[in-house]
This record gives sequence, structure tokens and C-alpha cells, in this order.
Amino acid sequence: MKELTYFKAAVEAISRALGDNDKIVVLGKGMTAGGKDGLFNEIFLKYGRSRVLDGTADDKSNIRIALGLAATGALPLVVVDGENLYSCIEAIAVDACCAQTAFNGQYSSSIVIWSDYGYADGDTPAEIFLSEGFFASLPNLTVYCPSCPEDACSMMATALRFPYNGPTLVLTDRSMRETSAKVTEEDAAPVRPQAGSQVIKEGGDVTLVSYGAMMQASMEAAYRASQAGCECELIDLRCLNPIDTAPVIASVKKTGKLAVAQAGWPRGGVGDILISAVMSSDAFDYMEKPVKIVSPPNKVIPYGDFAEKTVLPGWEEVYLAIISLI
Amino acid sequence: MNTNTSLQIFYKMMKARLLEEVAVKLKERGLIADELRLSFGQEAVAAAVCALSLNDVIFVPRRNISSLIAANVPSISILSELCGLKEGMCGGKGGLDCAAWSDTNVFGPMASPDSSLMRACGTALSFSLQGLPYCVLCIVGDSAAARGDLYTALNYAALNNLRIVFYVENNGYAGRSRTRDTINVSEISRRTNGFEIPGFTVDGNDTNAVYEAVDQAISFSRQNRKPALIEAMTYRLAGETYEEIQSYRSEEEVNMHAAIDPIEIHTKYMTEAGIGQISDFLSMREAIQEEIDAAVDNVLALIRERIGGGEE
Repeated sequence: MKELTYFKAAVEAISRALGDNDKIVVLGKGMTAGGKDGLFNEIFLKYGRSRVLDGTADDKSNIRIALGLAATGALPLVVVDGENLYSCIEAIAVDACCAQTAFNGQYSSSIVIWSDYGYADGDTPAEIFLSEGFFASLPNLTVYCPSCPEDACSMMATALRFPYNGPTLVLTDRSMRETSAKVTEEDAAPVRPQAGSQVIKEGGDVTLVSYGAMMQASMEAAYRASQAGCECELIDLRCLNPIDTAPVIASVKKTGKLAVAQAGWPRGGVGDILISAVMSSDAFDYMEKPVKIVSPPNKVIPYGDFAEKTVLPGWEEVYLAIISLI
Repeated sequence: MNTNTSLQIFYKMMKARLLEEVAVKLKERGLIADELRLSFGQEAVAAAVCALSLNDVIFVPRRNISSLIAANVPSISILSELCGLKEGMCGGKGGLDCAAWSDTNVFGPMASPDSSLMRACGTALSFSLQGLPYCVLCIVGDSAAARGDLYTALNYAALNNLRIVFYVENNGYAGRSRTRDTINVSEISRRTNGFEIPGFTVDGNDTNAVYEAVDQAISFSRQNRKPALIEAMTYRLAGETYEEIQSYRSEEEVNMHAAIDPIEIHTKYMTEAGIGQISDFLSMREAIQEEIDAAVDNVLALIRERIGGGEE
């Protein structure tokens, strides 16, 4: 058992996967220089240039290099900077997602893409990425979104077993960089089943659904609501594509009320996808109140706003949303 | 170029020409839904592909019927793919934009004209990591050469000692734009100077010139673990797509270029070299025509079967 930060927990899984499977290679900008924040220093020292590869300065090109590697038998993990994720969309949505169908399975397109995303203090409007809902909407893409170091480790370990015929995107929220936890052998061993929604706390009054960094605020809000006498059923989606809606639908049938807390943009986001799934299921008949979405405002976030802490919703906003449903 | 290679190039060029003629007929009968990007007049690309060895990899361009035939993809697999049949090279799922044929290591272009450049680098990198001497031939059009990925690819391939030859088919047009209006150098191959790798421009309708240049580039790349670029000057006789109205160029211009036929040039080479007489080549053409007609009959039978029998 090790105390690891959110990002280092993912690196722990990568290090183990490289040891377990010699077909896995890691590719990205400046990887032989240790990668971002030196996260890959130890991996490079241990595995060297045959397994840890420098990509180009262009992340979308690195995704295509990974596809060229995958087509000839390698199992590539490509590490991307979240601030370049928008430029990677063509390579992910067309080259990576379509290949399995378009090539009719003649070449493998199984790659894992690891990117940070979201918003951290000091980000300029050009650096933030709050469109994870877009990746949640793409066919043939698997999207893992860990909400804690344990999941960062286990989801990366699962992704690096390359269980899908196609690309897997692991999105880690950059605002959680410093979050740390004890990661057990069980988290690190690639034995967990495919990520699905998980009920974190049971309750019968309100169904509260979240993922990624917003899970922290949601847990705090659920705790406070509980003290005020309102029991939330808190669900962590964990996998944004495909979204495992069954536990949410079952919960809404019990509570009749649904709130979604997300750090992504409100339009076309994960909340929209989830709510449309719930509303078109038989849970519709159980709904007692309109659904609440807690999200940042639908606007470009000015650089200076970070000082005001007014941008991303905190536990207070989630709490108010819960209370308004009672 | 030896006799066998000469005959092979003739066979492939003629097959591509005749296959495109029947593809037009299928398109006119409404049996091909996708846009048809014809490559007639650009068949000399066959000479480039013939310079490869077994296990080498080919990335084909978007305008790719000539390249696919050159890469030994059966004509029935190409026609079936165009018609969206499951007997197609990608099970009718990809169309020719996403063409792939693993039997002879063929990859299609996918997202955009230049998206194959970096995937080709990845494949060359894979061979390099595995210690395999295989070479990648990445064929793109001049529209891809006008985009940013070419520079990323040349830089990356040179930096990482990749065995890859970029073959730019400069057919004078990128969509509706003239290449000279989109690229600010007369020879795209001069771009390689900035990356300290070899680059040559050749007459892309001259099979001898194409074969010699690509053969040398491949040998250089294989021996020195360096990329190279060959630009082949040719002309797009077809429109951007088959149905396009070509308001941007005159008929005179097209006719002038149509007079320079790479198949005629190659045939002349072969007669001069004593490989055969015109009558030999005409009978070869007849045999290829029969082969293609049989493929078309097969495809039409498959289509009738689907419509009549309501299969799947």
C-alpha cells in the first residue's frame, strides 16, 4: 500500500503494465525527458528508449503515430496535454474511432490516450478543457474518468489491458493534481471489471450523480445534506462512454429526484446525455421534480476569475441544488 | 527496370485504367453511392509501388484506384467496396477513403488527405523498434503536401531515423484550387532541404523515371535509416469527383494533358526495349479486359442477389 497522488497513481499502473506486457509502449511529448512534471522519470530510467518514446510537439500527430504503431502489433499509450485536447479531436473522432469499422478489423486500432482536462487555478481561456461531454458522445470510444487516486490507478490498469477494439481515453482532472490517497495492491492489479457507475453512498431522498473532480464537492454536499436530514444516493459515473445508466435509473425510481453535478460546460455535456437516458427510461414515471444540473456557466472563463473562485461549482452549489429538490 | 517489372507495371496500369472505366459505368447506373475520385492519367504510380519489396507497407492516397491495383488488391474487392458490398476489401464498411488491405499491407487515408502521413510514421517507428528492415511508402496528393502534417512528418521521420519514403503525386489540383495557387514553391521536393533529407522531383507520367527514383529512395532509406521524398509531376485528368462541374479549368487545358498518356509512354519503352510488340500489348489488354468484365459480372450478380433474394 502506497500513499500516491492522483496522477502518480495512474503512473503506478503504467509502470506495472510495462512490466507485465512487453508490447506496451508509452509515447508523448518530452517523454524521454521525464514527461510533464517528471511523472515518467522512473519509468524512463527503468524501461529506456525502446519502450518510452518521444512523440512530436503536436499531440494530434502523436495519436496518429500511436495508431500506426497499433496497426503493426504494438500496444501504445499516448500521453496528451489537456490544453491540446481540442486539436486532437479529428485524430480521435475519425482516425481512431472509425478505424475498427472502416478497416473491417484488418488492423488494430487499440490505443490508450491519457490526457488531463478541466480547469485549474491560473488557467487561461485557451488552456481549459470542459468538453468531456463531446467525447462521451463518440461511438466506439471508451472514456474513463477517475474521481480519486484509487480509480486513477485501477482504471489505467484496466485500460492498459487493451480490452476494447478501439481507442480508450483516460481523462484525469487537473484540479486534482495534489489529491492523494492510499492505493492498495487490489487497485493496482489489473483485475477489476470494466468501470461502471458505482453507488458511493446510499440514500432514499435525492439521486445525486457526478464524476471526476466534482465527486469531492458532491460528497461534501451529500454529507451536509445528510446532517440536515436529507439522504442523497450518490453515484460516481466513473466511465463517461458508454455511460452505465442502470444504477441511476434504479435510484431515480426510488427517490423521484435527480441532480447532476459536473465541471464540464452545461450544453451537450455528460449531464445532458445522462438525463436524456433517464427521461427516456421507465424512471420517467417516477419523477417528482424537474432535474437539476450543477455546472459552470455557459461562458468562456476569463483568466482573472480564478482569483474569485466563482467559476467551478463548489459543494455549496451542489448542496443548494439538493435542498431545492426536497 | 527488368522485363518482368516492366510487364508488371504495364499490367497494373492497364488494369487500373480499365477498372476506372467500369467504375464510371457502375456510378452512372447508380450502383456507387460514394463520390468517385478517378486517377486515370496518374497510373504511373504503379512504377513506384513496384519498387517495394515483400513486407513493405503502402499508404495509399485518397485518389487511390491506381495505387490499390498497383498494390495487388483484387479488382473485385475494389469494385465491391465501391458498391458497399460485404465482399469489398473492407467489407463494404469503409469505402475507398478508408481502403485497407492487410494481405499486401495497404492502409487508407482516413480523416483528411494528410492524416496518413503521421500514421505512416508510426508504422515505420514500429518496424524500427522491432528491428525489422521494412520500408513504408506513403503516397499522398499535393493537397496533403500543402498542409502542416507534411512538415511534422518529415521532421519526425528524419529525427527518429525512420525508413519511410513519401511519394507526393502532384497532379496540379487540390480540389478546385490549382496547386500553384496553394503552394509557394515550384517543386514540393525542395521542402525537404529544411529537414536535411533527400528530395527529388520527377516526371510522374514517365514510368522509368518514377521507378528509378523510388527504387533509389527506398534503397537509400533502407540502408541509411532516413526518410526521403519523391514528388511526381502528373496531371489530374478527372474532376475532383466524377460528378463535379469543372468550371475552374478549360477543356483545352485538359485535352493538352490527356495527350501525354503514361500508359502510351510505358508501352513505347517496352517496344523500344524489345520486350514485345504493340500486338502483344493489345492482347494483354484484352486479357485484362476479360478479367475486369468477369469481376463486374460477379459484382452485378452479388447486387442482384441482394436485391432479389433480400439477403441480410
